[in-house]
Amino acid sequence: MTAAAQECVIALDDGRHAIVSGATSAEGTLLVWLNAGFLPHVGPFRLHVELGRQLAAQGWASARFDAPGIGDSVAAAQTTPVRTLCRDLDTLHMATGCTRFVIGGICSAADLAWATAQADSRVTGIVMLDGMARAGRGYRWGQVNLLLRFRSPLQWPGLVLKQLLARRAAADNAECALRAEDYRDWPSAGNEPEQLATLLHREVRIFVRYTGGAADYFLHPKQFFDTFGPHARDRRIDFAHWPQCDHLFYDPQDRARLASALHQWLLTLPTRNSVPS
Amino acid sequence: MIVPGAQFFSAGGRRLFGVFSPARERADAALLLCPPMLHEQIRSHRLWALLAHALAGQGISTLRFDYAGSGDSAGDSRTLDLGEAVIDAEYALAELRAATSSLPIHVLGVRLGGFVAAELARREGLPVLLWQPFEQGEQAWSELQARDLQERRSTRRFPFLRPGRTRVVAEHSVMGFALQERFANRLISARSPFDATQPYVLDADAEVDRCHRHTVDVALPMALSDWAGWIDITGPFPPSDVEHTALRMAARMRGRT
Repeated sequence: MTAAAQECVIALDDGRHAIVSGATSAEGTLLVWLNAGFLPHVGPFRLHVELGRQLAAQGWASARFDAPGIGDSVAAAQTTPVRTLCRDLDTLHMATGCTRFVIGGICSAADLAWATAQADSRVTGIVMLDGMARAGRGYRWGQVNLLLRFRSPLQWPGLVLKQLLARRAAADNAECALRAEDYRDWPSAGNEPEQLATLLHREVRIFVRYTGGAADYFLHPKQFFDTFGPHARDRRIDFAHWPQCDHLFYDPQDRARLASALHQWLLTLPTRNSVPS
Repeated sequence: MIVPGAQFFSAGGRRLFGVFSPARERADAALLLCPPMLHEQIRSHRLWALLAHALAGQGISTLRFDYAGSGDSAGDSRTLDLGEAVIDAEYALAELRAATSSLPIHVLGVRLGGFVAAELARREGLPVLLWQPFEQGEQAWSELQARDLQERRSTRRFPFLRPGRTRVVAEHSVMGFALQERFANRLISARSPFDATQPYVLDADAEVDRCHRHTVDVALPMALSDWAGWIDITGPFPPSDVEHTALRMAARMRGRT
């Protein structure tokens, strides 16, 4: 039986529906792909469908669905995204028996996964693709690197001067200088290390990738370690920066690379019996 | 037989995914929606969900479905094919007929879906509506290739790309999807959606944004037409614009009943 043939539709609240790929069981973990911004549940370039079916073929079940007000869900949200997602996990638990969830996705999906993991102990893993990161020195170093990397050293002084003038103009017009943290749903700056420590204490595993498409706020691996503090180097975190990849995984080869990396990471997740309850 | 809501249904051994939105009160007609393809299908997904909901309030039952190799239907993108999509549409039509008994059925084709809808309409003798259609398949393929090149050269999409260079991607992939060569061959040789049909055409207000020279019956507001061609979502589809368009489509479909 193909992975697609194993898929089924499960009714969620507010007339919404989830599509579950793969065989589920009470002992198993259910991966949950969340909407990347306003993109529907199939994901950019069908990423969630491809991942769901490829991972199902390797024994991992997953679900994809639309949050209220996105994709097929005509009705607007009645409560906060975290509460809605926790309710959806309740429904998926009832329908599949799964009690452990790995949740995540791209951009706002990563943000929602992080926030939900803080609130719901059933979340045992997070997939953060272009999730949060603060700017700081790492970002400025990355900006300089990106600016100069393909230019002749003779052009460098002029380019740096132009950049500095542009930054001063942006600072003078601060209302126009929108930063990622202004429109993303991130926790207050400085809380990330403590939140990460809490998750690691719960044995939550975290898969982190930043792509080149996050260049408006992430340009250097140092930013990740600065944002999340000393625990960011914990062995339970699988971190990498993929600068050649874009934010939506445009190239099918990048999606295949992601599927492969995710599969390898999933194999490191503790089984139900190995985790203290 | 399909039921209201989301479901998989069988199409000659393949599993297709569809969402059936029945008329909320008295049903006057039914509509089979043949969606656009590739990135445009994903980019516009919400518009068709909103449109089907609005049409249901106007007495029109709508079945939206995904071609094999697209959306939630079975198969990876390499199975996507214009000829197979017409067969998928025939199965979807049979499901819609069974669910709506004696209601008159119309077919709506969006963008590349216009080729599918028109072919189905010709075979089945059904009235067809075309949303931002292409005149010719060759022109559609050229546009896809040009957009793909534009994306692969974009340092906004690939900030680490050396300016002036083109990002190398998987062979035979276009607009982010791996395809078989036959996709292009079938599209290039496809019969025009305007050939031997008398379509009701909904298209962009500005002539320059259209891909044909035929009369337009409904000039779409920019918010319902400017998604075509693009990958990134720039804003929501205004419900009032969708309602207004649904009203006109429903009036047309009732007029034909």
